[in-house]
Amino acid sequence: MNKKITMPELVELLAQKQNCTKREAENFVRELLAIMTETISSGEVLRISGLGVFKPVWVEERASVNVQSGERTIIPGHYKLTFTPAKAVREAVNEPFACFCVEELPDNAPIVSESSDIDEMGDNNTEEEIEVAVVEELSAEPPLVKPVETEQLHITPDSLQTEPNEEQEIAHSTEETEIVPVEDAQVIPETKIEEDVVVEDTTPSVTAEEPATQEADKEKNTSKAYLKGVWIGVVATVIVFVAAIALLLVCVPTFRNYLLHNSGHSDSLLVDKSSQVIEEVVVEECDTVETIAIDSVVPVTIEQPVVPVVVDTIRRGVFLTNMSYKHYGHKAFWVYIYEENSNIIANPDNVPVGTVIVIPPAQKYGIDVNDTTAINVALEKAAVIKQRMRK
Amino acid sequence: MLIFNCYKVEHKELVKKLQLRLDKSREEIESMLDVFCDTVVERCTQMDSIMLQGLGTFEVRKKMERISVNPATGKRMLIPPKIVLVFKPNNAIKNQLKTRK
Repeated sequence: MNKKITMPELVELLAQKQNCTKREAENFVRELLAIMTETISSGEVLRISGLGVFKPVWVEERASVNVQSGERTIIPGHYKLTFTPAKAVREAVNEPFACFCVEELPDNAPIVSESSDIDEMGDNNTEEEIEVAVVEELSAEPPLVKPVETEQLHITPDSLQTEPNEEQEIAHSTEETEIVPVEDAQVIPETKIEEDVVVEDTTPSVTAEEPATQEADKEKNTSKAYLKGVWIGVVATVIVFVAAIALLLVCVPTFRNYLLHNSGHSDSLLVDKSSQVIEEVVVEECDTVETIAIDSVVPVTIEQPVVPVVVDTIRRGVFLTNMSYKHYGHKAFWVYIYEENSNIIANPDNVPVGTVIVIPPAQKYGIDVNDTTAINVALEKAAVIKQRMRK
Repeated sequence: MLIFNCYKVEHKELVKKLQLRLDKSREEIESMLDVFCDTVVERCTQMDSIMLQGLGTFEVRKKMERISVNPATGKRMLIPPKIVLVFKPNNAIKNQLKTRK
């Protein structure tokens, strides 16, 4: 992509394709270029059938103004080299935009961009990017709040040090097993990671309680400290959850791809769910409930099946048969596209421009270009549909 | 539009010239030339540019869509965007052509 290819690379490519030595290829290219240069600079027309025509064209003399000094000058007539690519070359290069065709505009009509498909795609991308950015903002929070957490938890450094590992384990376990058994986490604290987190969260409340009672024997203070501890616990669990998401995003590329490639709704689902969890946390202030909620949310987002949907739009000069040829390699398979979209298409011979067509995956109907029986089956179906349309 | 000499070097003639210089069979030269052109076009379809020493550069440019008006009928046409192959000749060749009369 956008590379600059020089002679040696070109020679190498040529030698590879032609199965000859590099020296031979180099000799050939050098001689070819020498002849081309000679011919072109002597002012002859050069036609290479696989490439195009090089032709010198006379440019008439014209008046010009020097932009800097404002001086009027006359550019004398001269020859200019033009290159006209061959038709095959032109089409090969223009292949990505081959679907567009010249369209006549009605008088005084607003300018409509033909590349609406591309625009839509771009919009989708930006939306996804925004949503991902939101998720990443969420995940970017922990470093800001974490120092506080570590100060409060300095009595139990062991558990803190192991925390990153635990998070990774959370990430892995949620990915591998998809559903973490919640009841087990409540009953058997040693084996389950979630319970470790809870234990870790409740410790600061105890540690914060002791100095409070020593300084002043007031119940208010202790209750305040206790509340504070609970709040720290709440914050800690939220941070752990957010960090888990961040790890999921960072460590598991497939999950990230899944997030990126799926249409926006799953992302928003994730964000919505996480905000819901945070609300729950604020209202109930109960650690165990939080962890359960968190555990139950993550698998839900993962379990959704990945179904890439291929969509095409009917334009001028684009019919079901064209589409079939484009997507499956044979135009007989248009019947399957019609079947897939029969609720939208009333008459396959006359589909309105702008109709968005869902292209079914080739495996769904056993579409195979090389299989003549499949083509025949499709043709028979087409005949049946045609008959039905006639009635 | 004038074309001086009005002399054309067609594909066949190019092959003959190469044959003289390289001492190879016609078939060999032709297949080689085809592969060369294919390689150039293939690289260009991947939006690469190809620099050929002493000759110039093959580049790919994207042209935006535009509205053109047919002066005869006054009809407005929307010309779609396209990708075109452009050849920029070397400065030496450009100057040589310019000085020729």
